[in-house]
Parts: sequence; structure tokens; C-alpha cells
Amino acid sequence: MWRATWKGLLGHKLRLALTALAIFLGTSFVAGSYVFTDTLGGLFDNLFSSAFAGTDVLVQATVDEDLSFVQRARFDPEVVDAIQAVEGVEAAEGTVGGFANLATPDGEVLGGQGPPTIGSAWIEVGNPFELRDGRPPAADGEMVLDKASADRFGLTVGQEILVITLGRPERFEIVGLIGLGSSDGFGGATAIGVDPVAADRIFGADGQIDAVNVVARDGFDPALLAEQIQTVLPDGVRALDARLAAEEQLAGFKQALGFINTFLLVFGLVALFASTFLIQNTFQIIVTQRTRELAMFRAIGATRRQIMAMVLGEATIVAILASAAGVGGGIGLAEAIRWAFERFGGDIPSGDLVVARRTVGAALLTGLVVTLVSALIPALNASRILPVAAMREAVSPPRRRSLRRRGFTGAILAGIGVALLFAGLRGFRTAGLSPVAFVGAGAGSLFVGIAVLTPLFTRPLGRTLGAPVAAMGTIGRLARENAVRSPRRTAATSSSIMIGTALAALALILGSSLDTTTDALIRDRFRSDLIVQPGGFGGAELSPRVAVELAELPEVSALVAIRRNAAEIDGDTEFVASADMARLIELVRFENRQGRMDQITDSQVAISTDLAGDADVGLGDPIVITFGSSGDQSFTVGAVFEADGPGSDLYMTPAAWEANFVERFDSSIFVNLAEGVGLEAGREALTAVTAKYPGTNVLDQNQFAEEAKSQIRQFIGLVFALLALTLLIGFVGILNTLLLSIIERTREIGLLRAVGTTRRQLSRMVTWEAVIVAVFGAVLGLTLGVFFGWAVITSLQADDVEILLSIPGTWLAAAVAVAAVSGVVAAVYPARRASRLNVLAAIAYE
Amino acid sequence: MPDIAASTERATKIYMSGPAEVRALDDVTVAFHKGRFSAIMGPSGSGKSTLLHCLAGLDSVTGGKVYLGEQDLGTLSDRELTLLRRSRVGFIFQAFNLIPTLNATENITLPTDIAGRRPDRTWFNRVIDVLGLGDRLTHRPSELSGGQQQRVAVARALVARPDIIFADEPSGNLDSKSGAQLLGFLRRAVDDLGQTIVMVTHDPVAAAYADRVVFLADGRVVDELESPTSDAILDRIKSLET
Repeated sequence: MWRATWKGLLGHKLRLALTALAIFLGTSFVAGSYVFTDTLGGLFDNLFSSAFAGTDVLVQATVDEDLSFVQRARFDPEVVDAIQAVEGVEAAEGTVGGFANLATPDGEVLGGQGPPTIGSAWIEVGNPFELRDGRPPAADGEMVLDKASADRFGLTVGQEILVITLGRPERFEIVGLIGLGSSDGFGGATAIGVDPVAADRIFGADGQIDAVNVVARDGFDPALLAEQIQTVLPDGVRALDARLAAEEQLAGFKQALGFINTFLLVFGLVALFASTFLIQNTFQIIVTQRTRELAMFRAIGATRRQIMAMVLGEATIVAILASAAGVGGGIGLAEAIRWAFERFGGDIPSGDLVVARRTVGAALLTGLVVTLVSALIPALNASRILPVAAMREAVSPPRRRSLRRRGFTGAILAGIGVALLFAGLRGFRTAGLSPVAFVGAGAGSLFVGIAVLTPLFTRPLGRTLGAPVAAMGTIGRLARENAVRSPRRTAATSSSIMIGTALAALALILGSSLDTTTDALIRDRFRSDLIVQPGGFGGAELSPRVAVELAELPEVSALVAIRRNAAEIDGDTEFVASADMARLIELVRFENRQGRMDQITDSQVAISTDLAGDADVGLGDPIVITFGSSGDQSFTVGAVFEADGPGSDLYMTPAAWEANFVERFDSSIFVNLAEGVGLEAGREALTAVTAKYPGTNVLDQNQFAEEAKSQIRQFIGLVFALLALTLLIGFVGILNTLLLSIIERTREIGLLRAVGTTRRQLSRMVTWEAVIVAVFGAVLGLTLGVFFGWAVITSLQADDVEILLSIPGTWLAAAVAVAAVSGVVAAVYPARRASRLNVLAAIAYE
Repeated sequence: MPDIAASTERATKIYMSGPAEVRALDDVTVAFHKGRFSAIMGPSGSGKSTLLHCLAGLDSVTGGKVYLGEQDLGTLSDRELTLLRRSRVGFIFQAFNLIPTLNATENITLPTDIAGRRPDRTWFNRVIDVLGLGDRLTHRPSELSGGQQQRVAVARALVARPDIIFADEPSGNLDSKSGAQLLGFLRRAVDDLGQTIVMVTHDPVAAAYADRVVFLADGRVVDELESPTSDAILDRIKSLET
């Protein structure tokens, strides 16, 4: 039987190659996501362990683990003396650090769009860095820089650069280049080291320190020593075995990386899901075409089980080969992502991609499972072929499930899908399953349900969509009828396109809705003339000096600087903000609901209606906020304002901020111009100041809106690029089905040629057929996508999120056009095959 | 000769079948007159189908010339041949004559539709009338009997008013009653409508409907018979076999 399986496989090389391509694409994403995250994880493993290589015990302020990215509280340097007195401590030294921005003396920002620049004091004890070139910083005004960044920015020892932190930009001379362990870089982040005096000043430490590095005497266990040291530490400061500290930080990092992994996995699974229709279709067609051959096997004594094993055996071989290739594709994909990362300023050492056994296993398993599940129904159908079919002339499909049963099954699947979808969107969760899982399962079930139902309306819908084609004449009419003559095949072929278009439509609708909402919001809320913002998204934002200098300008009548950061409220991480409240409501419009925002005290906060609902608090109620640096602090709700979507949900006074955050950067500054100062004159005046702080932008209302929208668009663009993969699978599906149909219709094509159809006319017929099938899938997908979009937006609205539903007609039409064009391209090769068909061979009798 | 519809001049067709050279046509010179019903007969492998295909411009000869009317087919490109078939040649095959997705009317007008011309309405009606297809026009091939399907094929060949119709075993797949009916229609097409028909068959009864029978064996014309009867044809076949 295995020999027959193998022969069957070889007899359908092309078809199976196309099936394999679909499996390959899906498994590539699965493998690629693991390879990439494993590689990155391994890299950070190394970095973090070398970062604490020279230190045995690390002393730091405690921080809530969900807020590990917030700067920890600083503490008194006297602690260092106390630590040194502990038995077993060889040496201890305090250090201070923070985020910085770098620029050339001409004001050109260095690495503004990528990972942040992290600065620290250059100390002796437990300093993990190794000098690669030059010497350590010995005086104020000298610095060392990691070699990878220096290479990237084209800097060498002896050059001067601007370091921008909390004060005015300062010039530092590069006196040395450093590396960490075997690496010259820090995974894309830039590291600088300055002399402790300079560090204290530029990071605003005011004599305090961030951490103490402790080296143990020989024979003293770091864990035990940490316990000893803990006894001399003040509240809120903790001593930890440095290796544990490294692992803790690494865990936080890996969690962040998990997002990339999930993101890629989702696309891999969507691709594989779209492939199932293609695989099922291919195997079904192969089985139908081989009916007589399979019946012959039955006639000479093969059991049903053997026939099924034969079909599934073919599927298994294809799956294993394609998935194995998929692992290779995944490595290529990881390489491509790495390349993309590097373009955005990341730095991932090349040549050491991690291909874990789990990666190979996951790719093979998903490929195999998806293929076998898809091939199951065709295999069952094959096993049901009666031996007598070998004698029959006509090849008739072995199974005709009643339409009613099909309608019933499809409707139930679609119904379950809609129910799960809405359950998920309404935030329903149950043990171990997040609402997102419900949404995903619902969408999947709805897709399958619609795919099952599609054959019921393929003919009327296909004929309607094909009407303009049919109106062109006989060739068009033939194309249209060919497109709908096998409803199940058309349904299966168009399903992959349906999935791709539905998701693309959803992305378009969400993007457009966010765009519209952002526009409306900014127009509604923006009362200031100009806004000053940091240009990149590194760790450092605006130096607080910027607001001070701007306020001195005669062109400026009023300004407010807003600081934003994360804190934990009621178990959730929320963005909280601080500003001079009186100024804030003058420059940004808020809908005051209860109390008065501009009159809150330092022990009060103003919260949005959203947060009030989530945390179940109202005016005058106490609210506990967990800060990364100061821990749990109790406030009173002094005002409630209308929730507005993207803004912060909580505002506090600047004094309250300074008591609870180490960070002193501003996130944005809203500026009103003095009377009689034009927008352009004002912008010029502001720019004269901000030019001294490279990486600072001055925006008007429109630019601000564009800035906000461009970030949304980047994300949508990424989603789109990945959805192109689904479209590619749909494309392969059309190609596959057309080729198979042409083989089946050899006689018919020969006849058409004999009675005078030109090659060009035949090509046109095949092309139009492909276009109709593609547009059919796209229209179904669009309908589903609009439904998804509507469901998501209305659910958000039901959740009190202010978002406007916007359906971008032009873009959706463009999506259909793209599908149609992909149909045209997919038809190129089949059309060629059809038009080159030998007429005599086509009409010859056996 | 203006009354010749199709002819060959020393036509030779050689193709390779594996290592062996097969001479499907060997120096065949034959002419088919306008307004007549001719039959080509011969055993399997005699080259009769090849001759028909070459005459119809579906296949090309390796040597010699093939004319449709006065047109030398050897000088035409694939596209020109296609256009020629479209306007001047009609076909009736043994089976699979119809496009399953088109109804009877659409199948009948297929060649004119493809050519972008309008079929002559009165002529269409007359052909339909002669073939008795009036109540079957909106049916799809799957809803027609074998005999009806072949009649639709005949109608398709006739409606385009070609110079010549080539029929390849047109009654081969039909029961004897339907077969006789179909051949009767072909006969009437020649007698009443002035059509020219060349038919390949191995059935002496079918060949007896023709005005003239050309016998082929081993790629050569070996005999001819005017106004044949089936008995005369059988006798001739027997004499050829000995």
C-alpha cells in the first residue's frame, strides 16, 4: 500500500507542491516566531548575566514587578557605609543612572527612534563593562560609549557629543568604547558611562543613589550575604543575590518579547487556518479525479481502511516535507525580522540563530495536524468509493450530503461563532480563557460556518457578481458559468481569500475608526496653538528645562507641561499624568463631571469616568495607587472627568508626582501664543528654543493629529503586510483549483478550440473565471470584515470607549480590487496551460 | 476547380511513436466536392481520423498540401487557422460535442458568438425546425438524451453556415435508432440545405448514407465507391482485407 501511496504522490506532483507551499508558509511563521524569540531570549540571557558578572549582591529599592520599567526609588548613600561594615563584604559602591538622549554637536539626534540610551555612573566595584578602546571617564565632561552604538553612529574616541537629560544639553568627550562580556552592544540599546559627579548632576540624583554593587569576600555565599546585608538596610531597599536579580530582570524582558512571539504565532495560525481550505480542496479534487483508480484498488481487495490510509499517507508525507521546509522558512523569516529590527536601530548579533528542538517540533506538529485534519474528509470520501465505480464511465462524486444538512451545520457553526465573538468582545472570561481567546475561536467558527454555507449561495451570488463579465459575450458567460459550476470547489477556493479580506477589512475599519476618532478628539480637545513633543520613543522624553525656557518667551502666553507614566490601580497598570491643573484645563478641554479638576490638592487626584467605573470609586472616595518608586499611596478622588479614549485616566498635581516618581521628564508641552503672534511666528520662536534640545518637535493641531495617526497607521501597515500572506495562500488556492479544473475540462477546451476559439479568448475565459472566484471570496470577506469591525467598535462603545465607527469605502473597494488583480495573476499560468493545450489530444478518444 | 470544398495533394503525415516512425498519411491525394456527403472509411490505424484532422486544420501535414477551398492551410498561423475554423468549418464529434455550462441555444450559436457575429435568425429557425429541437432550446446538455445532444451538435455545425462540416463517427455513441435518425438529418442537410459534409466512420451502415466513400488503409487511399449501399461497402471491405 505504501508503494501505491508513494506513486500517487508522484503522480500529482504539481498539485501537492502547491498544497505544500501553503503548509510551508504557515509553518514558516510558527517556526519563525520561535526562532526569533529564542534567539532574542538567548541574547538577553547573555547580556543580563554579563551585566552582573562582577557583582555578587545587588542592593536596590523594591519595586512592584508589573512596574519594573518605572525607575526605582533612590536612597541615601550612607547605606553604602553600613553595607561595607557587614562581615563578608569585600567592597561596595553606590551608583546612579537614568535615561538620556544623544545628539551630535550640530543637533542631529543619535538613535532617536529605537531602544533607549541608558546612562550610568562609571564605578569601580562590580563594573561589568570592559574597555574595548581608549580609557575610562576620569573627570566630569568625559564619557564612554558602547562600541556597537559608536560603530552605528560613526563615532570614535576623541569626538564630542551632546547628552540631553534633565538639564540643558551638555557636551561630553568620548574617551573610551566599552563592551559587555562577548558583546559590543546591548541588544540595540545604547549604553553610556560618565564619571559619578556628572552622573549625579545629569540624572538629577541630588546626592542619592539608585543601587549598590556589592562584592563578597572569598568563601561567602552571595545569597547568605544578601540576607546579612538586608538587616542593615532601610525600609523599601532590598539586597538580592545578583544572579537572582539578573533572572528577575530577564523574566520581565522575556515577557515583553512574548508579545512578538504571540503576534507572529497568530499570523502563522491564521495562515494555516486559511490553508486548511486549500488542502482540503486539493485532496478532494485528487480523490474525485482518481475515483476509478481508487475503485480499482477496492475491486482488487483493498479495504476501506487501506484506501483511507493511502490518502492520509500522502497527506502525511506532504505535511512532513512542507513543515520541514517551513522550519527553514522560519529561519529565513527570523533573519528577515532581525534585519527589520536592525533597520529600526536594534542590534541583534548575527550568525547565531537559535533553532530549538521545540521549534522544529512545533512546526512539524502544527503542519501535520493541520494537513491531516484537512485531508480527513477527502480521505473518508475516498474510502466510501464503491468498487463498482471502476466499471462506470461517468465519474460521480461519492458523497452528496443533503443541502439541508449542510445549511444546518453551517448555520450552527456560524451561530456559535457569533455567540463566542460577542461573548469575547463583551469581556466574558472563564477559567484560563481570556476574552481574546473567545474572539479568536468565535471568528474561526464563524469563518468555517460561512465556508460550509457558501456552496448554498455560490451560484446566485457568483452569477450576480459575474454579471458584468457575462455581459461581455460568450467568453464572459463561459467564464462565469465555469466559476460557479462546482459550488463546493468555488467555496473552498474562495475561503482563503475570504479570511484574508475579512481580516484586512477589519484592520482597515479599525484603523479608519481610530483615525476619525483621533481627528475628532484633537479638534474637540485641543485648545492650545502648538504642542511640543519628543520626536522618538526612547526612554528619555523632554527635558524639564524646555518648558522653563519656553515659558520665558514673550510670544508664549500660557503653557502646561504634562508628565506621564505608569502606576498600578486596583490591580491594573494605568497611565497616570501630572500637570499644573489650572493651566491644564485652560489649554486642554475636559468635560468636568464631578468636583473641579483645577482645584485638586496634592492629596487628591482627578480620575476619568472610565477609571471611576473600573475601580468602583466616586467623588470623595479614597483610592490606592501603587507606584514603582514609592509603593502604595492613598489619595482621595477630588474630581471626575469624562473619559476620552486615548488620554490618561488619572491626573495628579506636580507635587504629588514628585513625591512618587523618580522620573522628571515631560511627555508633552501645550503652548498658547500671546495675542497678535501668528502661528508661524510662534512656531519660529519655539523652534529657536527647542533646537537646543535635539529630538524635540513643535507641532500644530494638524501635525499633532497626523503624528498620532501615523503611529496607528504603522501598526495597521504591519498587520497588512502579514495579511498579505493570507492573500498569498488564497492566490495559491486559485492557481491550484484552476489547474485542476483545466485538466478536468481538457475535452471541453479542445472543443472550444475546434469550433474556433482563439488562444487569447481561452486565456481570457480562464482569467475571468479566476477574477470572479477571487472577487467572490473578497466580497464575502468584506461582508464578514465589516461585520467584525462593527462588532468590535460597538462593543468598545458599549464599554464607554469613545470611538466612532468609520468604514473606509475607497480602501475596502481597493481591497476587492487587489483580490481581483491577484486572481488575474493567479490565472496567468493556468491560462497559458489552457491555451497551449493540444487540440487533437484534447478531442481524441481513448 | 471551383466545386472542390477540401482537398489534399500528396499529403504525408509522419509522427514518432517512441522509436518507431508511424506513417499516418502516405502520399494521399483526394478531393471532396461541394454539396456532397462523403464518407472516409478504413480500419483502425488506417489514418482516416488523421486525414479528417488535417483537412479541418486541427493538425498539420509533414509533406504535401492541404486546401480548404482554394486556401492552402500550410501557410496559416495557429490564429489564422482558428479564425478559419470559426468561420468556414463545422465539427461534429463522436462524443462530448457540447459545453455543459451552456444551454442548447448557446451551444448552437457558440461559433458565431465566439466570432462576435449574430446568427441568421431565419436560418437558425429553419435548422432547429429540421432537427426538431424547438422544445429543447433552453435545456442544458445534461438534460438532453444522447441523440438530442448529437442533434444539437449538428445544429451548431449548420447554423454557422460553414463551407464544410467534418463529422468524426457522429453516430458512434448512439443506439441504432438515434444513429439512423442523426444520419438522416445529415443527409437532409446536404440534400435540402446544400451543405457539404465529410464524415469518418467504420460503420458500413453509416457510410451508406453518403454519396461517395473513400477507403483508406495504412495511410493510403486504396479505393472509392460512388452511391454506395451498405452491402457494396461490406463487399469492398472484405475484398480489401484479402
